[in-house]
Amino acid sequence: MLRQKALVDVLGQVNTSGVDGSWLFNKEGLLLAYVGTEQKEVASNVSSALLASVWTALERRANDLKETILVLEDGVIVCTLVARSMMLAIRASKQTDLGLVRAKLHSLSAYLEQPILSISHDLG
Amino acid sequence: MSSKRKVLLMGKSGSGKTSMRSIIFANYIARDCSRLGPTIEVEHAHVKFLGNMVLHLWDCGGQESFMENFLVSQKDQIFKNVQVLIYVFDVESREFEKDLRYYQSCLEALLQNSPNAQVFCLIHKMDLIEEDKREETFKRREAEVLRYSELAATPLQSERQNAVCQCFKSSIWDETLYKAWSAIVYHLVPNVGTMEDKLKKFGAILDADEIILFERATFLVIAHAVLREHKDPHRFEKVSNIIKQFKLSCTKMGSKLDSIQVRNSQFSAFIDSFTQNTYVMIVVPDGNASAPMITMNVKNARKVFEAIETKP
Repeated sequence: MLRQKALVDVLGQVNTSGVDGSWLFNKEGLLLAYVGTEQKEVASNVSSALLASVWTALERRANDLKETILVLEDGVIVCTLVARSMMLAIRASKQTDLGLVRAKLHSLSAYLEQPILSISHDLG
Repeated sequence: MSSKRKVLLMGKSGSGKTSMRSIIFANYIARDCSRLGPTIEVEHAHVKFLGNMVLHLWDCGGQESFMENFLVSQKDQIFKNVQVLIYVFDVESREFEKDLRYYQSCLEALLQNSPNAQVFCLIHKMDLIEEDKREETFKRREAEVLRYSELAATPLQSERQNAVCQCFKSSIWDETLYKAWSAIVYHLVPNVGTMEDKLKKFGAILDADEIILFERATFLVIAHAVLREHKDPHRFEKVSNIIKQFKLSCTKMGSKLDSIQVRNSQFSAFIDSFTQNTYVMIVVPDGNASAPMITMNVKNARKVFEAIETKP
């Protein structure tokens, strides 16, 4: 079982020093949880769908894709795979150091790996 | 315990036994019931319920000549090995007194032949009574039925409590039919207690307001867990009624209902196919609750509930 509250708590922990949003969604782009400031232009469930489609497009060209970094006009979004079936993404402002953002992404994904793996394992 | 239950459906001619059976178990809609003719003698129907349980419905024709037969020459055959008697009264009947006497004789026959049977009475066709008088009429009828139940039970000096039965008001035109049948079915399902416990735990994990378990074919409520009180006591039957209608229209289009999501700013509701024999409905107080997350948790819970269902 996945508790919405617990998940939101965990995801929220990275939202410090420049990082202002974190998503967990599945490979189809369906949002499981988003924590952070809600963008006016794009809803969080739309952005998760977009991120997933970017990921699948890139994955088709490169085998064994580990991580994507999207540098946008007003920020960066880094994205990685968790437990083979889920995707984790975090957004930061442009001023934030990329190394820090990536470090946050990887420690969060390492933390979520086991729990999510056990849930998807149950699903068979 | 055998998974076959013998259910007797009795009552005066034209009281609506076959109609309600058709709606609940044979996917009729209320309108179609006008096509039904009177039942001759006994119609047997085997209904699969919750997969491994078979309800053996004896729909007994209500005309007086049949009734006499049931009570005299076929008494043993009819009243032996009964698990449930459902007696249907027509609320508008002009000869309620006479109906009651028949009821008393049936009950006596039942008590002699299957002392452990449970008895439910439905005061049917409530839609014919004006709305503000319904409660009062029902109360009056119920009191009479209970009085006659006592009359039937006392001479036998049996300890059984079931003779003093439960009464329900019902009408095929609204959700009361589902309420009555859900209550009846509730007594037939094994492991209901375990299921409700698990549902409560499941609900706590999901932070849900309410979780309801429906039987797949009939959409009757089998078990539910309320984690936060709701002001409408009739909501289960309403949902049963609405979703079943919707499911029937899906079937007409040649597709199968799998899941439904409803949300507004205050809540999200998910109806999802659950185990082989059930649908589950989850209501969460958050309009933005994530559907994939709920679906995933539902999938995870499925195994637990499948295990409870298949437990002998």
